[in-house]
Amino acid sequence: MIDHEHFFGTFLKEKKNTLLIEAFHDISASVGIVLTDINTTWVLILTEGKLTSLECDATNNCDVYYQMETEVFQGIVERQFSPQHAFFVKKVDIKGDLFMGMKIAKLLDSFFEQYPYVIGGRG
Amino acid sequence: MTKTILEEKIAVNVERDVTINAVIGYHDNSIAQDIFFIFPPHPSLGGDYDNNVVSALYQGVAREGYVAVRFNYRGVDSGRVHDEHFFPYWERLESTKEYDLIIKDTETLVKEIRNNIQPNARIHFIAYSFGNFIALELMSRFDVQKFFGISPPIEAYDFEACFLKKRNCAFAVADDDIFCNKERMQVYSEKYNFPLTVIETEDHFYRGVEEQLFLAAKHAMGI
Repeated sequence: MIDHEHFFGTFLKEKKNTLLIEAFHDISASVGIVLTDINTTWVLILTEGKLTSLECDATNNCDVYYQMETEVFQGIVERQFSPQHAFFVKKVDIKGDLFMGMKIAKLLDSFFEQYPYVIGGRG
Repeated sequence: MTKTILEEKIAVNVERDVTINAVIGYHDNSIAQDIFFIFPPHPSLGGDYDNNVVSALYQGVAREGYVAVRFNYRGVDSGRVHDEHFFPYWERLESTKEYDLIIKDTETLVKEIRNNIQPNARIHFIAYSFGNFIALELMSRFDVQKFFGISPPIEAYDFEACFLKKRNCAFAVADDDIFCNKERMQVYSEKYNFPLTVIETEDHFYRGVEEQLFLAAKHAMGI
């Protein structure tokens, strides 16, 4: 199972303040990744396509929330399925700004393609 | 007994270095006299031919013995349009609402597929979300027999001119849809005299009610 603390706290944190995907340089939003089975929320702040903040269990009011079980999150990270597909088959729920949520789902898909994370291999 | 749906994938060249891909579905006893084109949502919002609504309508139409076509807009498959990533490309189109190229692409695709299958085939359009915008614009370029539109995004685009001009159209809307307000659609339905089906579902995305949506299309289009 994916170690969410390593994924967010180390792997993703290393990419703070860098433009993640050039094509998404216009995106600014606060995003909550809610791992429902372990009652954990990671809050990511995107500013013009850069990850400028990353916190666990923050109480921020996010623009959009992605709610899923850890197993589903792992499937997305491993690119077994895209975030959009997971949403359409109800493995992921998007709350808040649905419009932004669908756009960021595209960004996440591109991100996991460009920055593969190997479970167990610690990225 | 459920018939196996056979598929063919085709690539239609619409411009130098720009190809759009389509999948044609049918079964052994399908009648090539009717071709249903299913228009996907906006690429920035999960709009591709694997979308849940597009897939369900495609499968349903093909199961009924017709030829079903689902397709992707330019840039969706390759991830790029010429040298540009598809996301900013489509964001730029959205900011200007200038979709002439996309309409032209789809016109080329419809012509080519119909000519390849059966030049005299009757064509029908089923459109979901943004797909309504493209499909309704194309209605004047083809002799479309029947049209079924799902959740046209009336909050983002002006559809009233299309509703005024078009005939043989029916629409469906979700009970609670932030992109296609049910009450506004009900007013349009009365004003422009088109049938409207309300689907009891939580939002614009029809997750879990795809079969119900297909049945509404089947009823409205008489298939």
